[in-house]
Amino acid sequence: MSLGMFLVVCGTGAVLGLADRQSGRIGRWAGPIGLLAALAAALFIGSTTRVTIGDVDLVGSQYSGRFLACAAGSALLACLVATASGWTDRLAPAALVSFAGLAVATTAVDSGVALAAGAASATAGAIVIVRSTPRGQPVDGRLAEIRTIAVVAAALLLAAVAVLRPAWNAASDAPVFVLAFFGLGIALAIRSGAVPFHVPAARLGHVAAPLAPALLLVWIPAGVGLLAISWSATTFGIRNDWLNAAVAVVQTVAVATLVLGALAALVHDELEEIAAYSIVADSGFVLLALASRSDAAAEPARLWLLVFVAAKTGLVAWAAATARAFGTSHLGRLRGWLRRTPLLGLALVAIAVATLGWPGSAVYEARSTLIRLALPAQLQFLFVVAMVLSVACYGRLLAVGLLPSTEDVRTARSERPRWVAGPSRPPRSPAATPETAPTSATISVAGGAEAELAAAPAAGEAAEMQAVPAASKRRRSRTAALALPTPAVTAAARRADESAGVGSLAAPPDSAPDQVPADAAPVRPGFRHQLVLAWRFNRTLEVSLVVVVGAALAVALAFGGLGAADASRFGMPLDTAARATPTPTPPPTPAFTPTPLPTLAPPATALPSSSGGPSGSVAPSASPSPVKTLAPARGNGQ
Amino acid sequence: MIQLASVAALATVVGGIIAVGAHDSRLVALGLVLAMVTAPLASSPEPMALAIAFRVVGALLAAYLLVASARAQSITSEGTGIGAAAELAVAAAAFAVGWFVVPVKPLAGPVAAQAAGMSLVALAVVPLVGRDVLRVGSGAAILVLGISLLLEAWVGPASALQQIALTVLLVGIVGATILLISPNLAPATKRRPVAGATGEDILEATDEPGFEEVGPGPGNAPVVAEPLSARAGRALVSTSRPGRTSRQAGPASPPDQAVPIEEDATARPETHVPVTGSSTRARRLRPREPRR
Repeated sequence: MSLGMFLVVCGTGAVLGLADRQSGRIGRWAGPIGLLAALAAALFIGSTTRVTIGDVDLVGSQYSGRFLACAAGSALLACLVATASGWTDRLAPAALVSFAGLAVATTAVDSGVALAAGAASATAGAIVIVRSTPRGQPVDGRLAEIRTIAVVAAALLLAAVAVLRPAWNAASDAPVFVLAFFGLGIALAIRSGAVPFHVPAARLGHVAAPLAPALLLVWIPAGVGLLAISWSATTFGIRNDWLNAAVAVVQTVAVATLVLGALAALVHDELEEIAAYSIVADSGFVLLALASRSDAAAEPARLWLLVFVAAKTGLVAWAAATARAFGTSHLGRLRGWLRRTPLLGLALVAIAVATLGWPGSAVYEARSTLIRLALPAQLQFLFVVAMVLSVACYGRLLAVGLLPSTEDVRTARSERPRWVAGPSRPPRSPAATPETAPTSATISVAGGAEAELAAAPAAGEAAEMQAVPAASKRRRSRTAALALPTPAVTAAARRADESAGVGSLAAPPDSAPDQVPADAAPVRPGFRHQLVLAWRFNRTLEVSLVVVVGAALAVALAFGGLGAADASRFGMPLDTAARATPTPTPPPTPAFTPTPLPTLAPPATALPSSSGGPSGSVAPSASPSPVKTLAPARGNGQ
Repeated sequence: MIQLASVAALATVVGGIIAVGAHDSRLVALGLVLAMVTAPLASSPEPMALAIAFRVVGALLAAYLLVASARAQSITSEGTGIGAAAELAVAAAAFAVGWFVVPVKPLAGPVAAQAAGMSLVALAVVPLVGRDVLRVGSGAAILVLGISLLLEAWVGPASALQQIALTVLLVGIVGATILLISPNLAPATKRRPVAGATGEDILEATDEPGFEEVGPGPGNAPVVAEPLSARAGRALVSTSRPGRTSRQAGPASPPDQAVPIEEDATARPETHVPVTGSSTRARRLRPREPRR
């Protein structure tokens, strides 16, 4: 029921969000509300969840529920940041479309359905491409996106050929498995922007909506990675020369992505590019999980994917919030950002901790396990290299924040709610016309509570706003009216202030000195009003707190909290289905077979895990076992 | 005896040839519909009626979206990149290879599905390396159709839910193409929020840009972006050729141009300026009205 509800909510929210995107009101809130409902529905997805569509079952699991909840929650936080910043109407519907596809992909027990649904979820990325690229640019964002969609879809469908494993009796099926392995690897590498394909990912800030990298580089690749690792140890567990060569190629791509992505994040100066390259570097671990072809890699890979979704969404939100707060995303102009926005600094530290962890923490062990299983002993040092480069990247961001502030940073609004005692405003100036009175009232609160009133830039802004005719104010969009305190809100706030004995928030001394009576007594609003107004009108504080919540979520997941560790241990029904399918044709190398000889195999469901769980853990599987799969029936009538 | 699978496979290939080779977006949509409707019939045994109905509905929806969007935005495809004869030859050669070469044994589906799948995959290669978004998108849809046919041939008939998922995937690809060919995309100038800007400022800077595409070049890429304010009082008339619309220039013709007409647009708001060449249709582009 909860899975069906999740699908319905995602579909409805996406349709409403896209259909009413232009007119605003419904479309603006349909996405976040849909994400909230999807989050609630995903929390109820468990091992007993089952939906039957036609002859295929969609079976929930603890991990599927956690993954979808984590993705929906991260998307909700990102959409809140976007909404608070005025970047509306694209991300939430795209996320909902994508999550609907991923929900089917992670719960289907038919591998063909899972791969087709995973490919369909990748098409949602086109929704967030909102700008065209001028002709002559080396990379056209639109072309890159549609080609990425095509390649991902084709590669995943090709992978289905090997995953579904028909009963061929040809001499060697090795080319088919190589093709399928390459398909999964290429789909994952291109969608996540691995190093040979990293240029479109790095330029997303130029062509995509703000926060779009969260969808294009985090959520969709995580879903594709989740699909890919389901068959890593089973379908591609066979050892032959061709497949080993293909694995070596994927390993090379993963290593290059790990190192070069982290280096690129270290040397770039634009926040969007830093975030994109950091995501790209960390997506190398998913490629390593695919290349490991080991049961032991499944559990750390699943945990890493949960952390990857939460932490990297937090990083994208952090970059967007920082750029919004200071009006620039260039690191050279962001010196001193930490002094003005300490909450964002706290969020960045939390994101770094969630991404890297420390020895003994779940995420640290997951990353080290993936490298240990996927790379030969001579390359184990890459774990330390990746760790050092990532620490250097985050440390650089923090160090820049501690430097003396630049002009951009000084003039920006900070997170700190500060009030300066000032004279009260007269109830209404006789000279003020009915048309201009609300505007001046708005300025009073907006300039007073939303920013530090004592700061000269805010004062200048208030004066500048006062200079704007009321007619131009009326031309602002509906989002403008929502973003700024409306006259009604302002009037309510003023009434509340008056009833509390407060005339109004103090205006900057140099903003409108002629409006201040000389005999007015300085008054401060009450603490409760200060808190309310600070929250209502300090957008920087609001956005920073949302980012902090996202970072805290990532930290909790990184240390195995919120059920992440248990869910990662149990896996998905697709893993069980992959194990329930027949063993592939023996490879040319006769020395190794992934399963016991047929005479020794159990009669019904081959390959019962020694531990009861698909990942080799000792805990019993929460997934129904055995899971009904149609895969064996697909191959030549068997 | 002629089997349904063989006829459907041939129809699928014909639809693919039309989709990747046509200039007119309506023909592109027609080709896609033909290919998407007949592709599931090329498998054996045929899918359930419900699955076929879903594929038909999906194909019609994709075609409707494509036609409606292309008509509203006057978008056409570049057409074939290597010539119609070459496209036909490639499709025929790949079909023959798929018909006579069986890489996996035993084949779980009809050989016609494998032949059609290989033919569609071969047809999709050239569009995918082009620079026309519409053509790349139709190539992507054809590619996915081709691989789904190969799946039918090598693995066996798809389940009903897989048919639904494939339909959603194809509609998603067409929908993505429509979104990406939209000329309403803002130019890719780097827009940053002003320090201390509130939501409405950023919204105005991103969703209501002061720029609008004046005229696209081949590949639906914008050529010139001009501030709306600079165009106040001017009317822009773009020209087109018969059978084509103003968004796209073909390879054998000069690109359509946006001709600025220095005249008082308020005094003569609907003046049709004589256009040169063989154009029979003029399209007036006016500055957008500010969003309320």
